[in-house]
Amino acid sequence: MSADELVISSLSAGYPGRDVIRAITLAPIRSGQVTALVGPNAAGKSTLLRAISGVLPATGDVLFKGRNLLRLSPRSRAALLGFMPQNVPQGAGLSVLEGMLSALHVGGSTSADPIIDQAVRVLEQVGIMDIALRPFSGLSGGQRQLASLAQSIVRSPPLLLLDEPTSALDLGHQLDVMNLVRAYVAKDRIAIVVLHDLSFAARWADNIVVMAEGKLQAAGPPESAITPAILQSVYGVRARVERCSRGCLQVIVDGRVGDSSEGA
Amino acid sequence: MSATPIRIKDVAGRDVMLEKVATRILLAQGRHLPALALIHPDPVSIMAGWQSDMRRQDPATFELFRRKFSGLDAVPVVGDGIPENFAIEKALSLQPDVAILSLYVAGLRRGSSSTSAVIRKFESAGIPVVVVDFFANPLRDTVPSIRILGQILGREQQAGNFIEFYESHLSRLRSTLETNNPAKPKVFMHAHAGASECCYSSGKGTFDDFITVAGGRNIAADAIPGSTGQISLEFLLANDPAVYVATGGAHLASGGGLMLGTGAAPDAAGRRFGELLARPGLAGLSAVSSGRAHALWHMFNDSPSHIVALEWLAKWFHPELFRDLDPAATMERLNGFSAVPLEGTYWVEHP
Amino acid sequence: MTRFETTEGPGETTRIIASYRTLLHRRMVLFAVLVTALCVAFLFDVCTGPAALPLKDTVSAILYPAASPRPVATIIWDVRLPQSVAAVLVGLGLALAGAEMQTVLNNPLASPFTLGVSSAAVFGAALAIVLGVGFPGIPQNWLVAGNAFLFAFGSMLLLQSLVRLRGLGADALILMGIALFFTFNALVALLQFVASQEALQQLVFWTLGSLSRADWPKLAFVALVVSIVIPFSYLAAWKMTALRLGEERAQSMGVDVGRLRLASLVRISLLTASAMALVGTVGFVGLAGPHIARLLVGEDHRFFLPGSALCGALILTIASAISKLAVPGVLIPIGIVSAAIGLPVFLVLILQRGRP
Repeated sequence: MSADELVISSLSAGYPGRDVIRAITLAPIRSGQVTALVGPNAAGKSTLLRAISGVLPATGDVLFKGRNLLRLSPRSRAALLGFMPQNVPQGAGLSVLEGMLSALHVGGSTSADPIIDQAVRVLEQVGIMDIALRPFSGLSGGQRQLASLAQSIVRSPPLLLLDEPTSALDLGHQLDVMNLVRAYVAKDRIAIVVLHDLSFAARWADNIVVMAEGKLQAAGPPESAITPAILQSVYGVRARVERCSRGCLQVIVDGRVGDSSEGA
Repeated sequence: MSATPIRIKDVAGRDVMLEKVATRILLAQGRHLPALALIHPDPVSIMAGWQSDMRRQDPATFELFRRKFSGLDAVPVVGDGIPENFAIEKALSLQPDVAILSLYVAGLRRGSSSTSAVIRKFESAGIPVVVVDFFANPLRDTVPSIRILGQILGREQQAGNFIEFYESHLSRLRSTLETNNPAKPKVFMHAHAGASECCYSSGKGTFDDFITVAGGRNIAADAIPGSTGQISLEFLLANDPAVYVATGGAHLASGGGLMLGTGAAPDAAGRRFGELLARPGLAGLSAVSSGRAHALWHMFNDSPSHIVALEWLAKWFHPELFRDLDPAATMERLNGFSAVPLEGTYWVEHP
Repeated sequence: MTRFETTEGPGETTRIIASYRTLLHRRMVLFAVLVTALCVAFLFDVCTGPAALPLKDTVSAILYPAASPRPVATIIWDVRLPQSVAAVLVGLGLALAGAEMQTVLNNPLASPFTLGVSSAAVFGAALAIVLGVGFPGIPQNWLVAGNAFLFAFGSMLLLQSLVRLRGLGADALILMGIALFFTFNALVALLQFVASQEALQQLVFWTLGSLSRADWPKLAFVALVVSIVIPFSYLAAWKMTALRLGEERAQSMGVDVGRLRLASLVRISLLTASAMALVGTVGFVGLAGPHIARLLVGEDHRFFLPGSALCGALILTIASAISKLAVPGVLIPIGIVSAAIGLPVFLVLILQRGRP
C-alpha cells in the first residue's frame, strides 16, 4: 500500500439533523488515477466532495498521506487538496490573476518561485492568459469555470476534487480540461471528478464510483461500474452499454423502466 | 470706578476673580437680559455677544427690548441656547471681559460638578466665567445671582435695592403662611396649556417649587419621574385638584394654545383661556366649575419677576388669607426697577 | 498536443506581469493622491470656522502655540484641531469597519451599523443622559461616551457568542443584527418617554452626531483603538480578498472562515463603538467610503482596506468643513452633513447595481 492512497471510511455528512451521505466507505483510491463520481441528482456527490474538502462538517475518516483530513485545520488541509466547487466564483471586482494570487497567499505555495510567476504559469496551463487581468464580472460562464479550475490547481495539491468542472464548457474546452486533469494525475496525484455524463466519465476516468440517495451503489473500472443493471436500479432507465472504438463506452438510453417498449 | 479686583463666588460654587468691573459681557443665556435690565439702565450697551434663546422663545419681549435699544440687533449671536449648538469659537473670538452662563448652558444641570468642557475652554482662553441661575433652583439662587450681577457690572447699589424689594415680598408670603399654617390645596399646573394633548406638567423643579412656597401641593410631583412630563387626563380628573393653573406664552399663539405674555391683549388672553377650559375633560374639573382656574405666563420660570407669579399663586391658593395681597401692584413696582417695563397680559384671574 | 500547449511564448507572461505591476503602481499613485488630498482637506478644515482667522495666524498658532494670543491658541488647540482630528479618526475608523463588514457579510450595502451596533450605542448614551446610569468607575465627563462604547461593543460580543454557539452564517447574522436594532430602539423610546425636556433634547442632539464633543483625552483613546486594530486588519487582507471569491472556495483554500468572521466582528465593533462614543451617530461614511475605494483601487484588500479608510477620512473631513461653512455662525451636526453627501452617492450606487 503506497502512502499516496486516499482511504474514505464511514464518512457521514449533511445538514444539522439530516445526513445526506451516511457511512460511506470506498475502496482505496490510488494516485495516478482519475476517479469519476456519478449518479442522479441529489445523490450526495457534491456533499461527498465538500465533506472531504472541509467545507461541510463531517464525521468519519478520510486518510491521506498519513493524516485524517477531517481533523486538520483549514490551512493544513489546503496544503493537501484543491477543491473546485460547483458554483462559479463571485468576487466580481477581482481579476482572474488576483484570484490566483489570493489562493497562493492564503494557502501557501510549495514552490520557491515568485508567486506571480506561479500564478501566470497556471493561467497559461489552463489557457486563460488572455483574460488574466479581466474582472470576474466581465467573464462568461465558461471562462469563470476555467478560472475556478486554475484556482484549484495553482498550488499543485496532491489531491484534486472537482465538482462538475466542465458543465459550462464547449466540447473543445471539455476536451482540454480533461486532458489537463489526466496530465495532472500522471504526476502521482489523485483526482476525484463529479461528472454528469456517463459516456464522458467512462472515457476519461480510470475508476467510476456510482452513488444514489446518499449511498454507494457501485464502484470499479467503467466496464464493471456502468452496466444496464446498475443503470436500471440507479436511474430507473432501460439502457444499453456499448463499446465503441478506442475502448470507450457508449450509454444509450431507451426509455424509462415501466414504459411500453418503443422501437428496437 | 475702582480698579481693585472683584472676588465672586458664583451659584455653582466657583471662586471667580475679575480684574475690574466688566464693560463687555457675553450673555450666554439670552433670557437673562430682563434680569440685567433690573439693575442696569442700558444692558445692551455692554453686551459683546449673546445667544438667541430669548429671541426665539419670547419674541414679544425681545421686540420690546429692541424698540428701546436699537443696538440689540447688532449684538453678535453665538448660539441658539441649546448647549450642543453653542459656537464656542465665535464666543472666544469676541473676547469679552466675562462670560455669564446659566447652569443649563454651562452643562452643570446635575449640579454635582462645578466645571464643564465649555467652562474650561473659556478659562483656558483667559476669559473668566460666572454662573448665575434663575431656573433650576430659583428660590435659592435668585438673590445671589442678582447680587453677583451687581458686582460684575458695578451696580451693587441697584442690585441691593432690588434684592430688598424681592426679599420683603417673599418673606411676607412666607411668614403669612407660617403663622396661619393653612391646609395645602391640591394644585395642578398645566404647562404650555393647549399646545399638545393633555396634560403636560412639572414634576420636581421650578414651578413645583413655586407651588410649594405659595402653600399648595403639586399633584404631579409624585407622578412624574423627571422634572417635566405628561400626566394623563384620567389621573387629573381622578385627583380633581382644588386649583388649576395653566401656563402659556407667545410661543403657543399659533397652536391655538394659551396666549399670554408681552404684547398679549387681556380680552384675547381671557377668551383663549375660556376656550381651553371648555375642552372636554378640563371642563369636568371642579376647579373649573368653581372658578378656581387661573392662568400664568410661563416665562416667569427663568426671571426674578417670578415674585409676581408667587404672589398670584398664593392668592389663588389661599384667597381669604391673601385678600389684601395685590400682585398687580407688585408688578408695577417691579417694572419700576426695569429699564424696559413689561407690557402685556401675564396672568388671567378668571376666564 | 493539447490546445493548452501555448502558442504564446514567454513574452506573453512578461507582458501580463508587467501590466499587473503597472496596475499596482497606478494604485500606489492613487494612494499618494488620496493622502495628499486628505492633508489638504485637513488643513482647510482647521482653517475654517466662525472666528475667521487668517491663515498666517492659524499656522503660527499650530506651530508656536505659546507665542499666539490666548484666545487664538485656545480656538485652534481646544476647538478646531480636536474637531478636525476627530473627523479624520472617525471617518477612518467607520470606513474601515464598513469595508470589513461588506466583505465579511458579503453584502455591498452593509455598513458598520448594519448589525444594530448604533442602536446599542444610542441606548448606552440614553441611559447616561436620561437616568445618569453608567458603569462604575467611569468619571462623570466620560459617562455618556463610556456607556455608548461599552454597549456598542457588548452588543457585538453578544452577536459573536451567538455565531460561535450556533454557527450562524452571514444571512442569519444580519437577521440577528436587525433584531438587536429593533430591541434597542424600543428601549431607547422607553427612556425618551420618561426623560425630562432637557435630557430629551440632549439625547436627540447626541444622536445627530457632532464632532465638537471631541477633546484630546477622548481622541487619544480612539487613536489608540484605531492603531491597535489597523495592523490586525491588514494582516487579514489576503484572507478577506480570498473570501470575495466565495465562502466555500475560501474555506477550501485554507481560510478558516468562521474565525475570520469572528475576528473581523471584533475589529468592526471596536472601531464603531469608539467612533460612536466620540461623536454619536455619523451615517453613510461607513457605506460610501468603501464603495468609492472599491471603484478607485479594486478589491485586493491590501489596497481596499487602507483605501476605504482614507476615503472615509477624506469624506468626513470635507463634511466637517461644510458643516462649518454651510450656514455662517452655525455648526450643522456632522451626521446631517454626512447623510447629505452620502445619500446621493448611495442612490447612484444602488441605481448602478440595477444595470446589467
